[in-house]
Amino acid sequence: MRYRLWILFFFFMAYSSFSYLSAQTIDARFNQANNFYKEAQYKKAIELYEEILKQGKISGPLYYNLGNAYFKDGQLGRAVVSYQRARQWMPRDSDLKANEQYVEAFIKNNPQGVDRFFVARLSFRYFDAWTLDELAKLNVILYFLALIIFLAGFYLKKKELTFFSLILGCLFVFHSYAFIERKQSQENAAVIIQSIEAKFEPMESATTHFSLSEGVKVKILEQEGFWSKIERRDGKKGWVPKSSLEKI
Amino acid sequence: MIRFFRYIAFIVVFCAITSLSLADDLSFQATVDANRVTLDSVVRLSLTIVNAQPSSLELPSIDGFESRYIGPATQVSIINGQVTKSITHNYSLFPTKTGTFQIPALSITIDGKTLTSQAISIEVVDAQTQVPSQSTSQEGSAEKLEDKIFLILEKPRSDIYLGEKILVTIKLFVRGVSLRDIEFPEFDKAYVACDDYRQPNQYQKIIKGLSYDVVEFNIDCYATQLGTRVLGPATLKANLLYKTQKQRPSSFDSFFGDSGFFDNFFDRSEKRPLAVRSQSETINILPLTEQGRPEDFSGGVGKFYFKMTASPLEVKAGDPITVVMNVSGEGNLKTVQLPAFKDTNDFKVYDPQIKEINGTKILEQVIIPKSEKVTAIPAVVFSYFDVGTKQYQTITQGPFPLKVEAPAEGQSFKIIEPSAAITPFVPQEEKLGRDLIFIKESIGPLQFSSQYFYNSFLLKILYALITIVFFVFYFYKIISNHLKKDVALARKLAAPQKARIGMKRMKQLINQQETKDYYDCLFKTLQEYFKDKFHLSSAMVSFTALEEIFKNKKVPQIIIDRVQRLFQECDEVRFASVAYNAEKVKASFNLCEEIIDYFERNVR
Repeated sequence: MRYRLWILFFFFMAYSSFSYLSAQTIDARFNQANNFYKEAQYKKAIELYEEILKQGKISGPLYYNLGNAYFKDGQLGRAVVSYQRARQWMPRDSDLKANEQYVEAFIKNNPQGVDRFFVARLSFRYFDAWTLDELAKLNVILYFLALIIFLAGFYLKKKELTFFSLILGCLFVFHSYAFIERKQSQENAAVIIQSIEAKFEPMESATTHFSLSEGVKVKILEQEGFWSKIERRDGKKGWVPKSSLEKI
Repeated sequence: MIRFFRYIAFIVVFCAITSLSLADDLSFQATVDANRVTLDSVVRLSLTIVNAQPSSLELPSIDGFESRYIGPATQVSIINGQVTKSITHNYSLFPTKTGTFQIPALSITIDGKTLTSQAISIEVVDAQTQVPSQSTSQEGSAEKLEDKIFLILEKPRSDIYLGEKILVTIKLFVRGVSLRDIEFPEFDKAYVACDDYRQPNQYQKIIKGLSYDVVEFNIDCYATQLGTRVLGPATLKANLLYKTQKQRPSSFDSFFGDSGFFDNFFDRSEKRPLAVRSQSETINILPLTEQGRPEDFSGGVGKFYFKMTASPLEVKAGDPITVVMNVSGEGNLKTVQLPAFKDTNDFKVYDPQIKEINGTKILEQVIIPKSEKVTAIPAVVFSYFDVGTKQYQTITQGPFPLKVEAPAEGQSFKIIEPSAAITPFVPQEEKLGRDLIFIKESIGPLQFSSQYFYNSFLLKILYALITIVFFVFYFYKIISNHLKKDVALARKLAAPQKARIGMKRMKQLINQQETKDYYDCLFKTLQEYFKDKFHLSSAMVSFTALEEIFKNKKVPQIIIDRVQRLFQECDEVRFASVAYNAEKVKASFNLCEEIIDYFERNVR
């Protein structure tokens, strides 16, 4: 028994040390990349930021800095993609919002979205302030509370508690809808080449429907061979080569 | 028997499936949704190929129309076991002029077989002409879309001077069609520099008896290169709205008697991007004459007014004087340079502040007389080229007499920095720079890229767990409530549990070799069990009463006999003090176990 405990202890220590050393290395690389950025060596900064990402480690500030570096390096599309990825980790960061708006101003022919009813607009703004993880956690808590309070009302025969659980249940449904809507309907790719023509069919000789500039965000609807069917913010759909897009 | 029916069913289904055969009749058909349309309507052309599915069809250019491919639609139908597959390629045809046009017979080759569609004739009439009426509007000349939408570029005159401001006007004329998403016109600006467009004007104009809606775009431009140059053509992009035809008559229409009101109300439209081009204009850009060119000419071309003021004009040496110069008028105001003061022996001069407000360029400058010997602010000369008189004009302001006193005794000469009290404060709109916000110094909490909670198995487990726990508690409460109301059921459900406790106690007594107590316990266990099982009162639990119940419940006689034997054994030990050996005791225990087990399994 004691022998087994020692082995467990040894593995725990080894894992802790490895994690600590790994974090140290990542911090050092991140700082080095920041230094390259400060010296306006954006390509080198991008290389280092991407190296950290290749290790499978991600964070909001990492994507944010990468977005800045891409933009300064003139890669508008990849900057947009990086900011969108950063948004999934820090949706309430004001710097990120400011930079996203600033970068969007450089996108040519960026179509406006459909005008929504103000209640829908407010709801979308509210839900945009949450990450998908946060929404998922909130939903679990709401679900748990709604059921536990319903049970309490049922056991204690108190209608107030049942009514309260009903409100929580409505909130849970509302948030769940937002969660599903955001997971499914968010624009999930951006154009990373200067300009591309969206065709009516997935073939080079097909008629051009509309054109897309670098940085325009689109939603991928389906894929066929080397082509992706996309939907632009204004609802227009067309086929573009897969290589012209990068998924968020 | 069941197996036999299965075979029959299989054979029936197999026959049904094999009886479905693919029809091999190829056909190719072209249809339109209307044969008579207005110029602002769109025609839907459908090319249907039956029993073949080519991926796309090349539509030749059709006179009188512009075409746009919408997409394919496939259909499969089974009639009398015959499967028919068809693909329909849909196109939108946008009329470009009035008249009668023909969609030619189209041919496609499939598997070596050439199929030809029929030719279709479509009549396009003017939008004002009612489609149902049989008027012969096309008797006159055919009207093109270009007659209904056109763009005109206008210049003020042909000869202009280098740097001169000209107003370029681009007019969009629209009649009888609907345009949406109109963009500002664009034209080549290689030889001119232009400001932003002014607010467009909208009005109506009658040309040759026809009323047009006019949108007028005005833009100020300045000639930048000499020589004969071409201005335009200007191109304006917009979306042209076409009415789509109704697909099929509805019961709604018949109810309202095809009045047309609801047709109009529910009309749908389709947009087609359109680029309208204007004509181009030639302009001759002339150089400014060298004759009479003043030395201080700073590039102003047009007609300008120049004014200068200075205050205060009575100061002590070292006190500031604010000089304000205004230039207004028609011309290249942005490029005009104002004659700012420079440092001299008499004046210390500060950098001027220049701004442009409502078509007036204003220069403000602070000058400071260095000594009491200064008597005047020198005259200032502003020169420009007048395009009206084609000559240089010079406007002189000043000199302004100045009274400068020596500084007070004990005070050395010093230059006072201009303050808000002296320089009139002009509130300016603060122009904020824009750029990226700087990078973050800390990497923040790191996570593995695959560690998304919303996608994790843990989330599903949590939901499942919460749901299961909820239903367990919920149904427990429901069953409890039910049992409180249904005592018979509650007793029936409790009977085996009580029996198990009794059996446990009996086992203990066997081990302790307490035979009498054992039989007491056995009797009580059986009695309690049957009492609860059949919801009986204590008085009713005698074998005679039980025997009747058993018979009603159709309990086999052998079981009834066993119950009777057990009860007898209990009575013999309890009342006649008969002593049984250990084997007999154990046998009675097993018998009791069997009986309870039987009743639990077989008797409801």
